Order: sequence, then structure tokens, then C-alpha cells
Amino acid sequence: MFGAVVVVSVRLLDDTPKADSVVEVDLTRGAATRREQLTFAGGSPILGPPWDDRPAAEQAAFGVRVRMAGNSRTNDRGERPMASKDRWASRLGLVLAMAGNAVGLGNFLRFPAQAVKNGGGAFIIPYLVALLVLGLPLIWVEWAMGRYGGRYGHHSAPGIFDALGRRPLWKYLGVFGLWVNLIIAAYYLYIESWTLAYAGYSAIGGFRHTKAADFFVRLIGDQHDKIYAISWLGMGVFFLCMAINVFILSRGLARGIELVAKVGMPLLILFAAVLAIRGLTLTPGGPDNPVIESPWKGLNYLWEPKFDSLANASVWLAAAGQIFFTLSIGMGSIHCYASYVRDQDDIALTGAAAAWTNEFCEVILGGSILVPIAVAYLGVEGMERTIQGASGLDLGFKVFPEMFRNWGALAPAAGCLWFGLLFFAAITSSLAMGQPIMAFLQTEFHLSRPASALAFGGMLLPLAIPVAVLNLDTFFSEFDYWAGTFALVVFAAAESILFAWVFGIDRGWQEILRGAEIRVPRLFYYILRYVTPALLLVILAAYIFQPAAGWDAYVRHAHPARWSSAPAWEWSPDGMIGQLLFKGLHAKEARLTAELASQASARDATQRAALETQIRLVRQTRLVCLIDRLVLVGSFAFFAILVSIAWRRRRAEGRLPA
Amino acid sequence: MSSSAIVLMVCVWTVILGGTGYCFFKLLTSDRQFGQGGEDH
Repeated sequence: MFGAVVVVSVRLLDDTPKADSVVEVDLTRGAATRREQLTFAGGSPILGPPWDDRPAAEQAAFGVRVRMAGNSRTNDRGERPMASKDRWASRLGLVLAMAGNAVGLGNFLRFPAQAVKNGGGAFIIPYLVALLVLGLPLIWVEWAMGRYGGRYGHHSAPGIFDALGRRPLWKYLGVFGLWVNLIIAAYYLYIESWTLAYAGYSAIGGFRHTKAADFFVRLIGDQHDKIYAISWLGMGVFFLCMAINVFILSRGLARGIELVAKVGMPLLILFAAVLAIRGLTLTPGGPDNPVIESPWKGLNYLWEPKFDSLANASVWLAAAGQIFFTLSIGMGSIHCYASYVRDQDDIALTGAAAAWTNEFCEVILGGSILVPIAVAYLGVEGMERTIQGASGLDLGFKVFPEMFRNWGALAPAAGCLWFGLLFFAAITSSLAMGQPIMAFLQTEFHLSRPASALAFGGMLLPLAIPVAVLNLDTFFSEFDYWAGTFALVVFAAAESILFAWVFGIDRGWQEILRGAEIRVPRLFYYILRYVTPALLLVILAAYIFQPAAGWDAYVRHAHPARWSSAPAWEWSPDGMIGQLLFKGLHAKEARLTAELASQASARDATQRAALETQIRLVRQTRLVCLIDRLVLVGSFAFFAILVSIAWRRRRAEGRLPA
Repeated sequence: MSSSAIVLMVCVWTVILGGTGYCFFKLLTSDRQFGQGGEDH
């Protein structure tokens, strides 16, 4: 039957024949004729569909290599392009969805806290440098990888990595792009549920009678001396939040995620602008006025450059880390969203627009709310004390509602605005965490959208329950460190090497430029090729081997003459190895044990009992963290097995060359 | 606010507002509609 297909004529459209010359081929099959523009490869015309469905032996018998033409050629893995059913409805919708993915709680809570901790205005300088050499290049890399993978029917990191790489190993590194999203969603949705509960409680004027710190304890069920922390209210809102996310995800890209972004992002910006203006117009003075400082002093604190901190390696590391968190790099969610972009659509401008929107929300809006308002009511020292943990969670959830109480009749509205904007920031990000996993299940296991949304919810549940019923030092913190911090750097380092050195920077650069509506400076070609991968490897090493004394202590003693006076090496509890060895918990236990020993002869039995309880809690925490790590490894293995099964199915279904 | 803080803030805000404004101006005035690249596959 193959013999019925006949090439009637081949007309060369280029001046001189070359590897990718375009030819016009007339084909006949029985009475049917068809004219196609095809390209040459190795002297044979490459035929497009439906002729490309022939088995390889038949193609060889016919004397042609059957492949897609033009920019739709098979990739290095021999996969053919596939059209996607799901698409973004509009370009603005895509930009807002991508910006919504990036704009999260970190923009309004973590960024100001990090800036305060790392030298105020001076932090902005390494932050912008990191944006230039890490943020923007990686944004373009992830968009280009996503669109390239999407062309071959891949909408999640394992498939996209596999399409770009030439070895099976890459798809297993791509598993990070599924695993990270599930683990982060398990605790991120928990914080999202707090914002929803706080917004609701503000709306009914609950904070008139209840202290925000008390409400927080009620919400998370924390009992200080217990390993478990059960709150039916907190669990109820948490499950409601999960249900909302699953429902939106089940509605699809255009009618779900894009719609939420189109509504949520403008509202978020509006809420933030109103709060920033109101905050910056607070004035101190008067005996009953709770405003003790000008909010502009807070702005000054944030922007006053302390240039000596520029010499501190930790500040540069913190700035690079913040760029990761804020742009949602290294998660696989950008790849997934970009994989629904059409082949010739621009990604350079669209990606840059999403990144700059995030910067606007973070630096301009985020920088103008938390610190100025906190300084106005607490003074500089009070703000510094409250922001200590550098996550901004305490300030945002325990202190802000107290400050809003001073706004009289506007207090409920202010609470709604603040927690409403945090909720919109969170939900647009959490949706982006669900989509890659759903896309994987849809593409590889042919699940319908609602079924895959439910499957995502089902996977989330066993991870979310321990987050909700155990205290925040256990699953919550461990998930945040291993998936929300460390794995992002591992994933980003892997993708930058894959893109620049395996796929090839020249092909990668062409991918970024394809359909580009802005001129991407050639400088980024070299940044992508050398600077970004090298920097990511340095950051990864710095995270892994972080010493307790900080890198500065060793950088200062880098000269052989001064090396002997460098501090003795000890792992930092914040570094990967220190975290792995429970350095922080061991130090805490040692401190409590020493305190208990010093009080051995004391008569205060209550105090001794409290110390013993604390020591027991530290030991329980360590044990639960060990279980948590088994869960982390197990969930990674679960996704790796799913990927292995999926690829076997691909081969069996003929979607992947054997 | 000190003058150094004002200078730094104004510079950074200008860069960010400029970047955001430029990108959205190009997006909103673009002739190319989303998906105009034609049948991709």
C-alpha cells in the first residue's frame, strides 16, 4: 500500500541545494494528490504529515526520510512535533499568569525582610546584578525550553529536559520540576490558607477583640511544647484552599488560571498601591497618636545604602537567593506555562514583561508597605526586632493586624486589603505549582483535566496533612528548605548547563530569538553560556558547604599568610550539610542541656521541667524531620517511577523512537 | 530621607518602571496577535 504514494515532482525553491533547502513536492496516493513544501536532509526530501506516519522500513523503501518540515523538524530524540489542545487565550493573560506565578508572598514579606537584614539599600545593588546575570537569563532559558518542549508535546520538566538532552538521565533531573512543585504546594497552600482566614477575620472585624498573635496560634494550633499542632479551624481553611485550587485548575488554562490572573493581578496591584499610599501618609505626633515615627524613616532605612555590606559574600548569596524565589525560577512552572505558547510566538518580550512586572510588585510596591508601616508604629528598633527571622511572616501575620487596629473604621478594610493582596499573590503562584503535575498526568497518562486536578489534590493530601498537624519546625520547615530553597538551585544549575552546553548555546540562542519582538542584547549570549552556569555552580557549592562563621570569615583570610588565623571550620545550620546533620537542633539541645545542668541544684522544679520538655521536643523534632526526609525521598522516587512508566508507554505507543 | 537613599531609590525605581513600561508599551502596541505565528504544527 505504501507503493501507492508517488513523488510526482520535486522543485527546489532555494537557489542552491543545501542541507535544509526547501522543496515543493507533489505527491499522489491513488487518486489523491497533495502538494507540500518540504526540506531536504541528507539528499532526501523530508515529508510532512500524513506521510510521516509510515514505519521507518517503508520510508526507506520509498527512498525518503519522513520528517516534519521547516521549524517543525524532529528533535534530537527523534520525536515529532505535536499540537497542544490547551492554549492561552491572550498574550496579556499569559503575561499576567506568568507574573502571577512569580509574584507571591515573598514579594511582600520576604523581600523587605531580606533587604533589612542585608544592608538596606546596598542589598538592592547585588539584587539588581543577580537579576541581570541570573534572573533575566534564566527566565528566557525557561521560556525557551518550555516552548521547545511544548512543540513536541511536553508540558512538564521531565519531557522538556528529555527533548533537549540526548541522554535518558536528563528526564530524571527533570523530575525536580514535578517534585519541587508538589512539596512547595504542600506548605505554600498552608500559608495561603492563613491569608484567606485572616482576610475573612478582618472583614468581620475580628481583630477588634482578638490579638493577631492569638488568632495565629488558634489558626495553626501551636502549643509551644508539643510536636503536634492541631487546629480544626486551620485545617478547615487549608482544605478549603486546596479545594479552590483544584477547582480552578480543573477549569483549564484559559478559563481557570488565566482568568484568575486577569482578575487577581490588577486587584493585587490596586490593593498594594492603596496600602502603600495610606502607609506613607501616616504622620507621627500628638499624645494619643500611636504613630511614633515617620514612615519615610522606614523607607529611608530600606534605601539607605550601606556600602560596606557589598563586600559581604553572604549579602550577594542572599540577593541571588531572593531573585530565585521571587521569579519562581528552578521550579518547572515557567517551563510548563511557556509550553502552551505557539511555535512562532514571541517569548523574549513576554518573558521580560512578566519579570519586570514582578520587580515592580516586589521592589516598588513590596518595598513601600511592610517596612514603612512597621517603622511608623514600632520604630526602627522595634521593626528590626520583629523582622528578625528574615521571612517577614511574623510581621505580616502577627503584628500588621495590630497596627491596622489604629486605623479605626478603616481597620477591617485595611486587613482585607493586606491579606487579600497576599491571598491573590499566593493563589496565582500555587496554581502554577499544580499545573506542571497536571500537565504531566494529562500528557503521559491521558488523564482528563478534572481527573488530573483531582489526582494533584490526592497527591497533595498526604503531604499537606503532616504540614497542618505538626508544628512549624518539622515538615513545614523541612519542605521549605529542601524543596523551596535547595532544590531550586540544583534544578536551575542543571537547566542552565543543559541549555547552554548540552542542547547548545547557539541553538538555544536561536530559540530565544525566534519570533522575538525585542532585541535581546548579544551580551546575554555570553552571560547564558558562561556566567549563569558558573554562578549557579558557585551558589550551589556555597549552599552545600556553608560554614557557621560565614564565607566572609574565610574570604578575608584567603591569603596564605592569614590562613592560619581563619576560624575553625564548622558547618552552618543554614547550609545543606549543616541542615542534613541537624546542626541547628543539636546546638539547641546542647544549649538547653547546659542550661538544665546549671540549674541541677536549683529548687525551681517548674523551670527544670520546662527545660526537660524543651529538650524532649527538640529530640522529637529531629525524629519527625528524619521521617520527613524519608517522605521527601519517597515522593521523589514516586515521580521518578511515574516518569519511567510514562516513557515505557511512550515507546509502546510509538510516540518515542525505540 | 537622606539624599543617598533618595538617589538610590529614584534610580532603581526608574530602571524598574522603565523596564515594565517599555515591555508593556511594546506588548500593547504590537501588531502581532497572540498565535499569529500560524499553525505551529
